[in-house]
Amino acid sequence: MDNILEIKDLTKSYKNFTLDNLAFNIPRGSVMGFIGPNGSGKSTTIKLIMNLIKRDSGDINVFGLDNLKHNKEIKQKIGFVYDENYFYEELNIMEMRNILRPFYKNWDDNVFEQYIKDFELPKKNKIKSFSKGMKIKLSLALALCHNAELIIMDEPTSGLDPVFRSELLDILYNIIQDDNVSILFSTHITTDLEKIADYITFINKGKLVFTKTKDEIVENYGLVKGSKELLDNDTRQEFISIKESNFGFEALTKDIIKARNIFKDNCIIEKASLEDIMVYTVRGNV
Amino acid sequence: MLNLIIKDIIIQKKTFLYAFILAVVASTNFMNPGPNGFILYVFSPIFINYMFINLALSYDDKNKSEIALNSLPIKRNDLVIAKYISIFVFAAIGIIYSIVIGFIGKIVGLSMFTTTITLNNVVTILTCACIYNSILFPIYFKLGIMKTQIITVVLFFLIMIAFSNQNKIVDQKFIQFVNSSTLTLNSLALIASLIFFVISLIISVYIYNNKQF
Repeated sequence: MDNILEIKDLTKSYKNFTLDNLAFNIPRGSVMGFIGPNGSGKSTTIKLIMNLIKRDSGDINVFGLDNLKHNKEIKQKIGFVYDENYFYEELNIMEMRNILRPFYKNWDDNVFEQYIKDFELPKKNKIKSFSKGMKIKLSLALALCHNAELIIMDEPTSGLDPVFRSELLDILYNIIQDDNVSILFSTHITTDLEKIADYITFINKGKLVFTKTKDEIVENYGLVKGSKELLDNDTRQEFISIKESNFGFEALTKDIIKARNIFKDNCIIEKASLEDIMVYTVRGNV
Repeated sequence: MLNLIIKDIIIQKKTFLYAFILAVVASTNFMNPGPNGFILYVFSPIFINYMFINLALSYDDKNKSEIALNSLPIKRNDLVIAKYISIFVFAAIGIIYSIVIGFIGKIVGLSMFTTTITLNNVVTILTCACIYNSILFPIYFKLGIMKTQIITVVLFFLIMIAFSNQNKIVDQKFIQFVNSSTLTLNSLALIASLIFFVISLIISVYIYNNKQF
């Protein structure tokens, strides 16, 4: 399986933040969930991929091509949806389309019209009258109507209600049935990804925590809950982080099978959600 | 590149109307058209050019459109070059408005419309638009619209003071200069301003290619 996006040793420093030797790949036809708390470097990474900021070192290859040398060529096949909208808000959908259409070689008006219809977007109203959800839908329609092979989404669900988020995920679910389309979906709302992601890349404070298939994560990570007597120097080593209280402890392990062998029936062991993994990893021991 | 200029036009269709009204008002009421139609044939095209360019930049800034534009398959160089070419497009719009208003004014028989636009006027318009925007664009690409507008306002007031009643001399001298200077002299000024334009373009391309969003 070839990779649609390859990131190697990517580094970018700001005064108070460094994206440090980031590396991950997105195989063709897959959905990569890109998670991390606010300020972990997700948007910086996306800006580097989109060539909006300059990297200090490292490589970014999109469709096997360097993203700086082949900027224009690559962007022909990228669709983008950002958390904020950068449309001309005084215009309506059709005027906005007229502006964007000439830039893409493979623009398909029929596909665009179909999405506008499916998403129930009003063609004649000014974009500034749209709700945030409608603007995201418009971004998505614009991202999908020029035969893009990679859709980059930076926090598209932040600030949206659960009903709309679920609708958006259904739309994405339909899109990914096409094996040619890959998605990089950055979010801090990890539940969004449990349904659609094939891979998860988790970064924290500019550093890669892991990049794995979602199945690997679901199968191996576990949440252990029990009384504090079970914790000693050896058992503590088994956990990524432990939350202790007067009543007992809750801890995250990345080897649920080993944890089951150690603790047997003395405590509750359940599968960890992406949210558990993110919270426990970011917070550390408490 | 052409698509980017068309974009700057689509986002401000209303400006066409405002510019026309401005040109009519300026040439009929605001003050007398000046010797040889200075207000109609020189001042208003320059001001219309200023209006279109500034509003295009404001709309881009208001909607943070640079981020979207730079995510599209467009070279950064082309984004800058398109802005510079748009100077001539918007100057042409200003010139066409003046010609139309002058023509209508003459047909209607209004007393202030006695002259027609001259090649000398066109050269003056292009010179002023080139110089002004060649100063404006590198500042905009480097500092963004807010600071550019502050600088624009300061420049505007300086020009107003220079042309105010207390300074009749500057005013008259300028108008005299514009009207009396020969086509050759103005053409030399235009050539100089075009050189300035090219230098400014090179600086802007350099600034924009290093810009981070």
